[in-house]
Amino acid sequence: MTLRSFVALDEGVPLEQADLLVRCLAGDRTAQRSFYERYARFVLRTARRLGTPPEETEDVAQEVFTVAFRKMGQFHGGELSTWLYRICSHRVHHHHRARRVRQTFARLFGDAPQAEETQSQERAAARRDAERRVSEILALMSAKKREVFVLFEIEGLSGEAIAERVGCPPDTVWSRLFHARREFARIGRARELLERSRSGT
Amino acid sequence: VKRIGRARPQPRPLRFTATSRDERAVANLVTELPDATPDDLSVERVWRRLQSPDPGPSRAWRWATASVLATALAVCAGLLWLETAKPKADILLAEGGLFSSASAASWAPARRGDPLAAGASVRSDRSGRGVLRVPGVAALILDTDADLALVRLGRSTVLRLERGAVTARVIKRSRGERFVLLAGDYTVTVVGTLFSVTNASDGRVAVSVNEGVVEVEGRGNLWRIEAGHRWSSDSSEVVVGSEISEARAALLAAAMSAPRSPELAGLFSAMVRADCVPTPVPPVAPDAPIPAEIPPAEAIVPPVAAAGLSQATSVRRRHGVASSPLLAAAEATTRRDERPEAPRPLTMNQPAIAPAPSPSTPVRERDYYAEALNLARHGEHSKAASVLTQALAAGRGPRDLELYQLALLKQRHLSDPQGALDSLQGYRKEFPGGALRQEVDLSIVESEVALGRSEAALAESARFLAQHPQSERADEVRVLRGDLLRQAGACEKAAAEYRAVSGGPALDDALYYWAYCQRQLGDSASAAAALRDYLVRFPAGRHLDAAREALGR
Repeated sequence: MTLRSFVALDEGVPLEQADLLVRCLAGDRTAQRSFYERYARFVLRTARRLGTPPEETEDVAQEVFTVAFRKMGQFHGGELSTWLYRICSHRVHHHHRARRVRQTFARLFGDAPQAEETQSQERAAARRDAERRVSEILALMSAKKREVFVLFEIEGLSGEAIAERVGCPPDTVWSRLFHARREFARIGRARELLERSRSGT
Repeated sequence: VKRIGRARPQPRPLRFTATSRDERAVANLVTELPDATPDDLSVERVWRRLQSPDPGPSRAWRWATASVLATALAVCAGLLWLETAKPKADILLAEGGLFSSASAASWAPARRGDPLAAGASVRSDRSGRGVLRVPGVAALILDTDADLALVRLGRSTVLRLERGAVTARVIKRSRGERFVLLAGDYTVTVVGTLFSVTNASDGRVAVSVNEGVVEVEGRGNLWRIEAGHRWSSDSSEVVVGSEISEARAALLAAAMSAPRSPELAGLFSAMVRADCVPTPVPPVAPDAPIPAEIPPAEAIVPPVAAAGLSQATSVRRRHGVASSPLLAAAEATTRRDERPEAPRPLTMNQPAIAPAPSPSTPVRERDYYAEALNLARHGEHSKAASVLTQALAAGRGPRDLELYQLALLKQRHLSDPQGALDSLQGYRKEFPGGALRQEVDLSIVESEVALGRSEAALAESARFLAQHPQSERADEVRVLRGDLLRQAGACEKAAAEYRAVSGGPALDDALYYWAYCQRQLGDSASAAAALRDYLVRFPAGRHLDAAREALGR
């Protein structure tokens, strides 16, 4: 898609946003920097909230923006944050899956992923135990339930906002939330990740 | 419903509404989460990485290594699968001159259990026969003087019958799983059936179907042969009448079973016996000419169901009543071959390399065995026995068959049980592991009984039961032992023998005589109960009247 057709076709895109996108697509570093600064914190925060370990958050953010700059021509209007959230959610899901595969192989060969563990241990002091446990549970949840749970329980978004972001009807959000809560509690119980919280209550 | 649902207040986060223990735990955990707002340093780091994207040689290297490893693993797994899934056939039974070759280059005697891969060939000479199995697909009887090549084994099975005859049982094939038998210019395609194919040495092909449907394609035509019909290439007509004996069908059914059936050897010998024993001569016109001379063995179709012609057709042909143009042509071939100045030329279908002794080498010597069979079929048993005695003295032909056939003639037609016993003992001595061993052992028991030597008969029958415990004739032998013991007055032992009979036709005698023995032993109640049981089980039994009389009915 050319820049001209992009601008012409997506009439729903605000002019200021369209201008930014067109310049980004043209390779304007200033525009890209502007775009990045506007959404970098959102992406980093979303990635972390969706259960990405801190040591992988920057990797996810880099991937999200790489994809965004490459596929900017495919943006067809709406909120840019929603579009970026979708990309971020996909990348986080991919990282969760890759991590599970790595851990499975590590268990199979009786060898823990040394580099990651070391890295984790180095940064363990800087992150809170609760975050680790939440991340661990979120990583085991299905992508759809994870999204809804994070956006509602952690980010505190409304049902309508979540529906718009994940692209489903509001009723579906509540249904997913119901199941997501149960799944979160079930995984937490099974992995004994809720114990400390219980004792704290 | 939706409207009502929307009217309800929206859920609130658990940290405000948690009630259960789990919900409170989840809420606490979520509340404890630190602020996830990234610091400026992190934002700047990501931007720098975006500006100078590191191609990540280590990551690329990891991917490359993983790809290579995965490919190698897939190749190894594929090779392993190909090796294990390589379709194979095997030789279930081998008798006489049976040879196999992996590549048609070097021939070696085939033994039971020899594996056969695609590309292998199996060949039998005039004394050889074999049962082949393509696991899960088919079982085949390779007759004497036959040559079969396994062209392809696997999802589709393709065999090529160079000459001779095979009888095959093929399991029902699904679409795409073809079973094809190439014979000369014709292609026999099988859906799932019991059939036989003959490829005569001059290129004529005959197909006989017992079960299922077979399609024959060749020379631009297609024939569909259904169960109970046969077809030959010279007449190109499908006619009623299949030529596969029950013994062959039973043998093939047993050969199809996945674990090797213990009955195989017995069924094989029964098939050989069925092929050898003269069948009732079909009605022949009084003026039908009977050849004064027996044609040379090589010139006729081999005696034991050879060249795919069954006993009945062979008999008809020898009486000059050809049942089909193929047989008539075969007759013509026979007469042509009898002319000394016209030796049969090798045809395209004959193998270029033959095992020693070559089954296709023209032999002009007298075939005593065929001659004897022919005489026996015409009721000239003395002459047949004489010819077989000459054959044994001359050391020609299939000695095991000759010995057994001579014994049968003496036992059943010449009232010479001692002579029969001598022949049978000779067989047992010369062929201790012969395919006819079980039949020979049984005939020895019968001969001893005929000679009135009960003790010897009992000893031989005990030996038979010990050596062939799974024999289908075991129950008959038990009844025979019971009779011998009963006649000797040992009713208790006789009753034990009768009681050991497991079922089948022998149970008729066993049950009645068991009751008889019980009465002799003084147990009238058991005897009466057994007789009542007999009347129920065998309402048309052999001892029906006697049982009724004994019960006072």
